[in-house]
Amino acid sequence: MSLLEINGLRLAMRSFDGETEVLNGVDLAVGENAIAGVVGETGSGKSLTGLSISRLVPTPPGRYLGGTIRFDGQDLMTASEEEMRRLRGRQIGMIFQDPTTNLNPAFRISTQMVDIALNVAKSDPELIGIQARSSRRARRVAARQRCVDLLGQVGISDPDTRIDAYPHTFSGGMRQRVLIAMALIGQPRLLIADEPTTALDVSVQAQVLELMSSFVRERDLTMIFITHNIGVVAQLCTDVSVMNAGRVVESGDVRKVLKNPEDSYTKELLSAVMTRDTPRPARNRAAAGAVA
Amino acid sequence: MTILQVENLTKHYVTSGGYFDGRGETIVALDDVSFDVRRGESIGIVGESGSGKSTLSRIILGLERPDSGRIVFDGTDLSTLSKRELRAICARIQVVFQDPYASLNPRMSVRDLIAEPMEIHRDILGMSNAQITDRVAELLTLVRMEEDHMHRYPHEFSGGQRQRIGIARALACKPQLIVLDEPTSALDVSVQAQVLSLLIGLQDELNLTYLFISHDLAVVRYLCQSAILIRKGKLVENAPIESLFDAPESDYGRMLIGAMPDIDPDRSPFRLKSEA
Amino acid sequence: MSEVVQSTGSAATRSARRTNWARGFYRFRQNPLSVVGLVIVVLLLLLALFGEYIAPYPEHLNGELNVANRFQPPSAEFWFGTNEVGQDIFSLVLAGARISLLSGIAVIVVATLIGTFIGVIAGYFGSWLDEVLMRFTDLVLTLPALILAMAIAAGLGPSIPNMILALALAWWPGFARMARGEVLSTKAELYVLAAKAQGGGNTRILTRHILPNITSPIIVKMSLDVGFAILAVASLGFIGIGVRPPTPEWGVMLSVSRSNLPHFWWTAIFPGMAIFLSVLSFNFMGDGLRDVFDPRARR
Repeated sequence: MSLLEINGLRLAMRSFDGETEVLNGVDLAVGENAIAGVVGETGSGKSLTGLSISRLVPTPPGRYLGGTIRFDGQDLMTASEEEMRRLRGRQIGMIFQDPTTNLNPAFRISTQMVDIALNVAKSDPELIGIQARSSRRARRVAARQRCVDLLGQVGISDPDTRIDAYPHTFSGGMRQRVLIAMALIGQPRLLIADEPTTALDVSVQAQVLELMSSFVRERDLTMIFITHNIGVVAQLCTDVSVMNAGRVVESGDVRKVLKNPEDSYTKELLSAVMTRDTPRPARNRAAAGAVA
Repeated sequence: MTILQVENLTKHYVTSGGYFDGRGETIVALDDVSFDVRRGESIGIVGESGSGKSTLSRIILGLERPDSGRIVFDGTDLSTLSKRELRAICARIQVVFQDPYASLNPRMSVRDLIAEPMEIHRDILGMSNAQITDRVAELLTLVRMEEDHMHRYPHEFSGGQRQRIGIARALACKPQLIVLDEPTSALDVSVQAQVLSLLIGLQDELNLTYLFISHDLAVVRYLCQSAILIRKGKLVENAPIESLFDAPESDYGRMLIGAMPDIDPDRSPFRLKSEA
Repeated sequence: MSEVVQSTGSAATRSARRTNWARGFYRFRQNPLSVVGLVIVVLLLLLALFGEYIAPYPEHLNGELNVANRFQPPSAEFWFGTNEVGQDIFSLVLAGARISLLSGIAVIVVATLIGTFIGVIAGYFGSWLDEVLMRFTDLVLTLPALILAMAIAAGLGPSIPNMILALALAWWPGFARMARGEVLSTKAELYVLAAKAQGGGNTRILTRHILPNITSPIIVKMSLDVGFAILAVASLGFIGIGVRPPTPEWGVMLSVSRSNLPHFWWTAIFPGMAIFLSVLSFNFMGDGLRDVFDPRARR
């Protein structure tokens, strides 16, 4: 049973050049507790697929032409805006690429996190461990405690004091951890991560990936990991879907797809990735010395 | 044979400091960095963000002055030159920046963009407008674009095409040394491969020397004959590519090589952990 | 060879420019209010140029009176009614467009020239020059613009050019601050660094790279500000500095009609509507221009 099932999703975007279909029949199924990689190049539609799941594509200029998105049996395409808002906070979490633009520089981390926690607690007070009729003060204290715990879990040392710092005092990797903690406040069942490690150095990226993989393992979490980096998919994901020109061209178990690709585009993409084993080009130094 | 000598380069920055105390911290961007670059070779300069690799490229490009140390280009010590002489050297050292979207002025046509270095150095080159236009056409062909692309504007092109425009601009004054500041890291892998093969072809054809600044060891390995690793302003390793990959001498080198993404799922460190 | 490239080139460049314009207009059209604003602005500009020729009672514009017809309410004969000396208000409002609009535009053009010059110099060269210029700008900015303009206008004597100059001298700091900010952010762009790395000098960087990239926000601010400048011109007219009766100007007309309210409401409503409409339409148009130049600012 899949937690998320996208069938034949078609999305058109309107612009000066007329309406172009950017997703033309995306099929994607994500099983419970999977880490599903969605990999593709610029313009493949991978980010729009992610945004479509939480219905964050602005319409207009976007327009859905057809298809269904089922999350835990519920059709998200027909869900009301109110239902979507509830889902976004509680069931579906999102992490975006650039941690600097997703944290408001004017507020302390605590202000931003506690705000989300209190909001989540409105529908489910249990989440921060309080009764529905607790006082405002008790709510605040509990919400803060929950945020401090989460920051500790994502590997921020001394979270009790660091939570009151401003975002600019954190490094890029630390900010991305804060965003992960934020996305986890509502204990979502599905986490959509759109290029969460692209802006990070490789050594920091490895740490963040390790963190994400341990979260999926230890919690009841399913993750969609959108990236252009096949190396990251190979390291982290259990399944992978390769997207090209608004369509999933190949999907399946990560070992099967990356080791024995069937689709010609997948093969092409894999062969273009540079690794430490890529043969170095033969150099034709005929001209060398002639100009000097 | 040596075209560029970097000798004991040191650069400090003072941050603007806190709101109240006003005292800034001193950040060491480069600490006593020395290396040589041979003509016709590609040398990779590898480091993570904040390592000082960008400062190094800015000093070599003459955009910043070092606190101490010197740069000798083709036998001339750059610090002894007058402003005018330095400007002339600019024609021989060119740069291609990482971000092909930000490095091209959106209000200029491709012709004007590529023509700009020739217009700046008109006093040395002595080219008429018609000659410049001809040269732009020639350069566009050289980077495998169409001649009539010259009348379009940057936003009409894809990332890879824009990077070709950037490369054509860098080639305009027939430079000897090109600083490539992460020229492919903003591009898709398939486009990256095309740009790299273009760079390699141009190097062989025009006997260029590349200073390739990158955080991506795989790309450095593909393009360069040797590499320098920089960490927190210090040079930690300077070795030919083969020996760097076969037997890295520094811990940092081992760490970087270990963190290189691998497309084989069976070599993933956390997968092994989670499936154990 | 080069001849051929040149000639086909200019045609290709022209067509590339045409697509850019079409693309810009497409974004402008996305907001219907912008189009409404543009249409009204164009109409107002036509009125400003030809208003006095289509006025039904051109003789009233030269101060001719018709006391027998004073305070006629709006009718088929006098669309907007008549004022206390029997002049046709419709004719006066039409003719008033010229002075109000053109002086509003003139104020902003002069203010833009002064402000941009100072702001660009301050932002580009920085250090002490920036300090001196911007502290001076702040100083002018601390004085209430209208009061300052009143003082300058009073000192120079009441005339339309003096009023324009007075308002412009009070208006430029906004442009200076904005231009400085834009220069600071443009200066940090990679393409400016690229030009410097190629050995480009200050003149080239300013004229080829910085100015072309800061004109869009300046044009947007100009168009937004023209509305307020029209209001300021009217205000000065209202308090009796600047344009003097019987020159038909909206602010002056409002001022004179004060004593006719509320009974002869039409003497005030129509000039007031004209001011309201022009301020609003320039603002709508400015919003549309912002969508064209900076599509990210709004959907």
